[in-house]
Amino acid sequence: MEYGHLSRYGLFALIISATLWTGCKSVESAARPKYAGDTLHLQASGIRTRKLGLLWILRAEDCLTCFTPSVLLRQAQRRLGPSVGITLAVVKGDSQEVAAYADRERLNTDIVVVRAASNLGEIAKEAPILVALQDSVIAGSWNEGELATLSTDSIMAAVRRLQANSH
Amino acid sequence: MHLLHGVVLDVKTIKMMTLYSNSSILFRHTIVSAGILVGIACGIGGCKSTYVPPVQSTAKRDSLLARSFSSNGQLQLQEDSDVTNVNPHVRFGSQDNILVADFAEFQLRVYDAVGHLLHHYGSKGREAGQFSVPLTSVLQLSSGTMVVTDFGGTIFQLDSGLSAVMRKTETDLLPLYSATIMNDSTLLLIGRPRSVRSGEPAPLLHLFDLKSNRITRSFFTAPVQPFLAPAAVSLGITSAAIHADTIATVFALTDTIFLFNTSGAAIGRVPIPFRLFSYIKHPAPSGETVADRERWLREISLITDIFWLRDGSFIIQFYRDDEPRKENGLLIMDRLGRVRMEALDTPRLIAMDEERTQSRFFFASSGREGMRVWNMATYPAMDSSH
Repeated sequence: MEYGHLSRYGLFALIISATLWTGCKSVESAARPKYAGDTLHLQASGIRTRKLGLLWILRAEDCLTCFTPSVLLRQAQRRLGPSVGITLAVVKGDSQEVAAYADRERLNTDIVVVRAASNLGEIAKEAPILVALQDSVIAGSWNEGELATLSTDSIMAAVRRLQANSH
Repeated sequence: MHLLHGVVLDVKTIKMMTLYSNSSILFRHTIVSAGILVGIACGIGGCKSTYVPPVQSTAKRDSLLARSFSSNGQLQLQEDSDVTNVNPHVRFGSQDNILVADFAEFQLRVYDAVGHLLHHYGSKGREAGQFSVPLTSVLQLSSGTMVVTDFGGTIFQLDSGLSAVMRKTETDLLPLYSATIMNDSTLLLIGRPRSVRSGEPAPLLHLFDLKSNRITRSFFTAPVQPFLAPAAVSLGITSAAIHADTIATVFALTDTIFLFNTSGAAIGRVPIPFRLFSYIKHPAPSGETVADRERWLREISLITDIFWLRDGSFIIQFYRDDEPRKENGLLIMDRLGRVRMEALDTPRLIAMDEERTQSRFFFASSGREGMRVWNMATYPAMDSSH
């Protein structure tokens, strides 16, 4: 079973990564935000978030690694309280499995299953946690997908910016 | 008589171990690592199987549990703005304190016996006071010193109040699944040496001398059939319990309890007469769809924990990942291999406390609060002798 969980998720991750790498060429760079504070409209991807909240685009490998940003989301959840919701978006996933995963991770989330990857995959590769306002997102971190750099403080700062802009 | 309980792992840990246990590129480049391992995995052929999972009614399970354990109330762990219990690996310290190493939260906690949070230390990160690798166990020596292990093979020593790391030692183990106290100068480490090349048999138990700060002896190479050798690497979950001068250990894929003395010499084996355990009958399908391989994975059980009771009997916890359902099972047997109870779909057994006159067990409650709210039970059940 080397190839049990391993291959199941590993292969899945491999397929996704290959898709992402090849997909990079087809996604226009202007179609996605590049810097913290840039926005991206989500309607085309079929995602609706709460008015203000965090959007986590769940990647295959997030379900099984210790690098999952769920630890950061839990920090944010504890510090921000229920007024800032968390939406968990999964591309072509099983909502029951994702719900069970969110329960195990002790995350209070809305779960959205997105039929088409659109350019979400490209975003997820770089910054799987985004601060969302209605149908737009603001980048949380765009540092080569280095999750460790996406601190709760940076999320809080982005939330505060959004709150200021929304008033 | 001093008793120590086994290691508790859960599905997330298992998945994580599965992904990383054979990877030299640890904790970075996840996709690349997964791809490498998948490449290894895909080199092995397989065949399709027709699978009929073991069945046991809920009523029968409840009846079996009630005959074995007496309910003893609930324990609610205190949480605050820094603390959430997600994946606790639990041991017991002085004054009945509950020690938690939270794998998912990169955090250590000390609770008193009724669940009040006394101390906590650490979070995910690379700054002082943080851990960059998930924690796998926390133990307390008689001096009060806390000994902590992480998945990457590092051993930390902290003061009893968890105020600072006093000593940090790197080992050759990757992963380092867990640790147990043999005595005040020796730890039993459970892990896979990274110096052993992939595919070669690796000793999984190691005696670590706290004075010389090094591994002094390694032993227990898990025996598996040749077709299971690759699986034995990535699913090499091992659990151990110590009873007086004997170590009992179990390996995920092998239905046997292996006994060693405290020097690491093999002294016996006890077969585990499972009826409800789903054995691997075939290698994973190769060249099939992801769905085929998922189906294969859902067919098999893994042994995750061994607990050794004061009366000499064993509790074996096993597990099957039938997404979205995670199914634990429990088997209780005596030293001669006679089964006292076996049940499926049991609540996850988080920990056992043998320091009192009667064994106390802590089970996760149902629902998303299960890792914070534990159901307590004693064994044997009060009326079990009647």
